[in-house]
Amino acid sequence: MTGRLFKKFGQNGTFVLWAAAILLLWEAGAWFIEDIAQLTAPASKLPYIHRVLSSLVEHFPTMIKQGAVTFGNSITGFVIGSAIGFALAILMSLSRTVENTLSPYMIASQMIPIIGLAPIIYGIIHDAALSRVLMAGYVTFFPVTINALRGIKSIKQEQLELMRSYAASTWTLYLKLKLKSALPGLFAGLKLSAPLAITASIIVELMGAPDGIGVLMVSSLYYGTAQVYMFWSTVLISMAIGLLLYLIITLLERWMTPWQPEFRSKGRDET
Amino acid sequence: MHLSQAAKKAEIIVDQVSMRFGKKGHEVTALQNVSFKIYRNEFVSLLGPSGCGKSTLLRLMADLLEPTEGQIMIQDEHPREVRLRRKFGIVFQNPTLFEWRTVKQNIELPLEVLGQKKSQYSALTEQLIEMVGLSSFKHYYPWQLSGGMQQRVAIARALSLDPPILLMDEPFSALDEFTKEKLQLELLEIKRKTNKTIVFVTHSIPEAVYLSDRIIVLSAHPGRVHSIVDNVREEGDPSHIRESERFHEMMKTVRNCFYEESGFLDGQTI
Repeated sequence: MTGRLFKKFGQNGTFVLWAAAILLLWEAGAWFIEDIAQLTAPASKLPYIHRVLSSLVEHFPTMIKQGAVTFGNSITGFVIGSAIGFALAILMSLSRTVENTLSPYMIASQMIPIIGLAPIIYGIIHDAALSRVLMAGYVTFFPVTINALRGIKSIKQEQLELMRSYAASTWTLYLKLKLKSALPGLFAGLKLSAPLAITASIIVELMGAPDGIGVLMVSSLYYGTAQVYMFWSTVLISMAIGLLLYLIITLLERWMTPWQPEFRSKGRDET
Repeated sequence: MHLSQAAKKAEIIVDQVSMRFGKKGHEVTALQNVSFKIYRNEFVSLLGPSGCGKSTLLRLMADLLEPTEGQIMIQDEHPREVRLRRKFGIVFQNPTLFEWRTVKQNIELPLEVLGQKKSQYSALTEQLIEMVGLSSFKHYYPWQLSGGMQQRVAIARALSLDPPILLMDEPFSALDEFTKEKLQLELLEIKRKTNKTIVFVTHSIPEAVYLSDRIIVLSAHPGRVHSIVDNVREEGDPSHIRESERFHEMMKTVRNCFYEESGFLDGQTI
């Protein structure tokens, strides 16, 4: 027990040390650019991190409010996109014809650059919230489908033969075997698409939406050096939103697929 | 005790079965004109080198494959009927446990698929868990168990629907020698208690001789029945069979089938 505690502290300790080293390097870099090399507009290149943080604290209420708008729409689109993606994976696993028919369109859909698609969507529906949801869903479904389908296809022949020997119906086969086998892939897909969903929402905001963290980002850029710390704060907030979503997925994964090798405790005695 | 075979009831009839894989022109013949009978409550091994089609034969009986020619009848029915009525349990070389299920849940899988209520079968599962000696491991997950324990779970799972027939495809060949001998002994014990008809695929001569009432010796390329060895296992304490004179005589008899076989193939191999 104490051994594990120390180990845990050791891991966290290493993380804290690394974070501190990176922040220190950042500060040193900013100091070099601003005070030693005396470059013009030093804050646009690499601002002092403490000033970014103090700006973040100062504008915190606005940041959180706009961040929440972005996060809320992203997660709605993300959930809808994942559900559609998972349903597509199941559909494609049911029939090879469906898989062969849908695959080319799905792949083609991912070739459209989101930076080009976002203004089109926004131009058509003129609703920032709905556009964000649509774009987040659009970038989410593909990685989810591909990875979940791969999970279903990786089921061992003997497991299928076993279910066949029980004369299991298609419904039971999915319930007891295929959906479970799809879960690790589903989560791999979710982890890939989570940051994409946030980015897609922000891109919609850059294209002229009235609210969201992306609007703060673009307006602080507009004001040049005066708002540079604000700009960096919005970048930090966007990062935080992405990490939050990623964390939620990781926790869900641990809860729903505890049998995966990476979640297993090391020995019998520790459990 | 040994009744004449005519008086016994044929449980499985394999009649002129041939099996070819692959596209026309590039066909591989896995089985050619295979015929034999397996009687009720018998322990029969399908013994042969790799490539003799013994696993294919088992899959044909389980309706996991369909023969190119010939037919198989189990209890006077097509294997499909038998499968749909869940009249056989199957054990593979790989334990094939579902890794998200505990020992108990894995054993209950067929019962769940059948749609029975938990209250109906929980006593039965406990009994099965005890029979395979895993009472203190019933809440463990497959990855927490040794290979031998996993295979015990697979055997209990195959017995959970209490099918009259047990099909086993090299179930012990991935285990170490000690575990193998222990599980072979346990299987004989299960056979004694449940009196199932067991079809056991193996490539090990001592294993087949130790376990079987009858051995169907298959030869490879293409798979055919080479010979059938009767009255293999003697009555008596199974833990001492391996030391008996008769066991070694039987080993010699069965091994000779293969020497003879390799002799007419090219005179060199073994």
